[in-house]
Amino acid sequence: MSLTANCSFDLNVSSDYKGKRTGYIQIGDSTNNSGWANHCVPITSVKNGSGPRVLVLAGNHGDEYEGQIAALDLARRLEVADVKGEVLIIPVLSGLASAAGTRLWPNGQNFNRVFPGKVDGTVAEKLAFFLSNDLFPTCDSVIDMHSGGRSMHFIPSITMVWVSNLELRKEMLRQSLMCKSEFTLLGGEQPSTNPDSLLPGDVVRQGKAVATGEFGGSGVTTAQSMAVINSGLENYLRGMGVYVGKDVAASVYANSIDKSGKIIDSRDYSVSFASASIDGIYENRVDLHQHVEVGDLVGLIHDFKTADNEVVEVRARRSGTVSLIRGYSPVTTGDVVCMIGELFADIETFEKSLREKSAR
Amino acid sequence: MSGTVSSSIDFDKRGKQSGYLQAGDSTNNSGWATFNLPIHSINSGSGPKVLIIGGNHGDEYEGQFAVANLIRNLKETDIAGGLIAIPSVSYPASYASTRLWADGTNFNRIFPGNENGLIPEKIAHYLATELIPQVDVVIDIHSGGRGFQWLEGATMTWSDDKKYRSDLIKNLNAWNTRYSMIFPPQPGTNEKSLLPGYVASLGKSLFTGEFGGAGVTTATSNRITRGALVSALKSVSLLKSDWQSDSYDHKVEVVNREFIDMRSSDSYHWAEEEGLYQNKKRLGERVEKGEVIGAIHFPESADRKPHLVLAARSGTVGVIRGYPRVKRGDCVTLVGESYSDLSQLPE
Repeated sequence: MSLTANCSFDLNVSSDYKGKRTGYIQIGDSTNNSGWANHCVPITSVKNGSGPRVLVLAGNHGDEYEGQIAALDLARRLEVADVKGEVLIIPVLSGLASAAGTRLWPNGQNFNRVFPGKVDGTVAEKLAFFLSNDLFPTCDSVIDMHSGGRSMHFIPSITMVWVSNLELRKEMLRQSLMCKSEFTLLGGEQPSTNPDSLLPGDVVRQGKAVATGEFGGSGVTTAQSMAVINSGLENYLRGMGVYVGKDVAASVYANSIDKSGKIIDSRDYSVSFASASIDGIYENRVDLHQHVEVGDLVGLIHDFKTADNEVVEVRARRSGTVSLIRGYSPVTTGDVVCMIGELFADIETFEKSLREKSAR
Repeated sequence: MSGTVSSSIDFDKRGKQSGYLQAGDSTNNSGWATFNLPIHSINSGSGPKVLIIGGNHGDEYEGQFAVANLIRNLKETDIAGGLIAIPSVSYPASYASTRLWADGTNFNRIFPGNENGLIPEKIAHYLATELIPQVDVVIDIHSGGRGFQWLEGATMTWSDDKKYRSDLIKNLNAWNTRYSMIFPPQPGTNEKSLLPGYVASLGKSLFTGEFGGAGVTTATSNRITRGALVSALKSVSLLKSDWQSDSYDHKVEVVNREFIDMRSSDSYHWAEEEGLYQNKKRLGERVEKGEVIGAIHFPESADRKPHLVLAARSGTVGVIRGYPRVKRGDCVTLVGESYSDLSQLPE
């Protein structure tokens, strides 16, 4: 039980409770302009008796707005009758970063690298501790909605880290497909990073399934990316058995959503990423969805400071489908500028290829 | 004539040259410094003289890429006339990915510059007094930067001077882009303080365009920009009409051209609240007056309903919002009537 963060309404009501409540997670703070302050993170609970408790999270990174908008809309529209069990929504985890249009908090912290948090740490660490210690253990499942933020642009899609826990992996794949998105991107764990320090990693560490998505990015939320995220979220909640209301997103976006459930496998990050090999200004030479072969040009790094006007080429290290291009054009050596993966028409084709590979 | 900026290359010399515009500078870390702005010249003798500017605003990369790549791929024998190109005129802003220079200067609001001013003012003064007067045509390539996303296309600012206007319309058409957009002079702004406005005041032939934006250049937006630039250069007979290049892929199929008229004030939609803006319509989508085109959310207040932005007129969406955190008074969407033919455009 966190001593430095609490919810303004009771999160531990009896299982037969029915009601919709909105309030704040209040975290003790002390700033230059307010010696005795509370950092307030809006939270909404819609509960209708017993059933699963699902936690909907967005704004883990401040400049990833697609999920924040979807979660804000969900928090407003959900009524008690739409729910069986409880939907708990925190639309904007990193409010200060969201307001500043940045990935990181103003103190430089990446909310998605501070788990399991710290009870007496910074505000971000206190919030992470509250989630890890007070919320995740009480939830049956968690969805954490991301996007490329300012620096990257993804095919709006469900994503899944290929976790080593077999049983959990199976459940996470089931939940990912439940979202009925056109694309599910399979990835590995980020190199040179403690997986448990990420929010989804902390949920997995606690033995629970987590659903994640990357719904666009590069600092623009489009009608199309919002269609993918709103439909995916509604399908997820219905699949978890916690949403029993009308097909709101499904009907609004009936004609703009492809539910074919294609898989893009980028689990092998050693070849799936293309990275900047020099500092400069990066130009995308491939589009999302484009198929590339090994050695194809994916981008150019310009040097606008010298008259030589030479460019450094970035080439694909594997063949496949482009699922990520660069947003923010200035790049530093080592920045990921493109991601490529093998495209499968559906989960059956993907699993068949896995079986064939393991048989060899 | 500028006493504070000089060129390391002689634009009258035949052939292809690369060098710098050199502006005297003095900074905290370098008391006696020179600001070096890369510039290129290709001169094949008689013919039109054309100046191409990329990166007027730092975070508008499409034109910077198109110009830098073009210069790398052009030979003296490809053109008839003289080409002067500055791929990234505000490059310190490009590296910071900002619209404005670090000193806060908007390069597109300081013309005719100031010989003894800040670095961008010195550069603007050199352009205004040395480069623009010696050319026949100026091409200034923009995009939405971080704040906007445009349908990639040619633009023109309406002119009351009928003769000049007909030249602008000719050039709008000559970009040969799928979409073209026509707008009025920006309110509350001295038109001549803009680079294109200054060019217009000298009566020089002018091409302007907005090629995407929202902080991402895609392979498609970059190719559209290259295709448009090649069309423009061919239309003024600088680039030979049969020129093509595999390494400068500029093949863009242009069908169903649309000319979108954004001259009326009801084309412009502004944020009336501070918050998190959601685009509800897609670029190029048709909207009817009164339809919801966007929503401003209030993430700091858990239960406040979003403020809806309604279409003030019917038409085609030509511009959507990029950076979603809006302040009151930020422009979020442009809608205009679409015409398939320029001759249908009302006076």
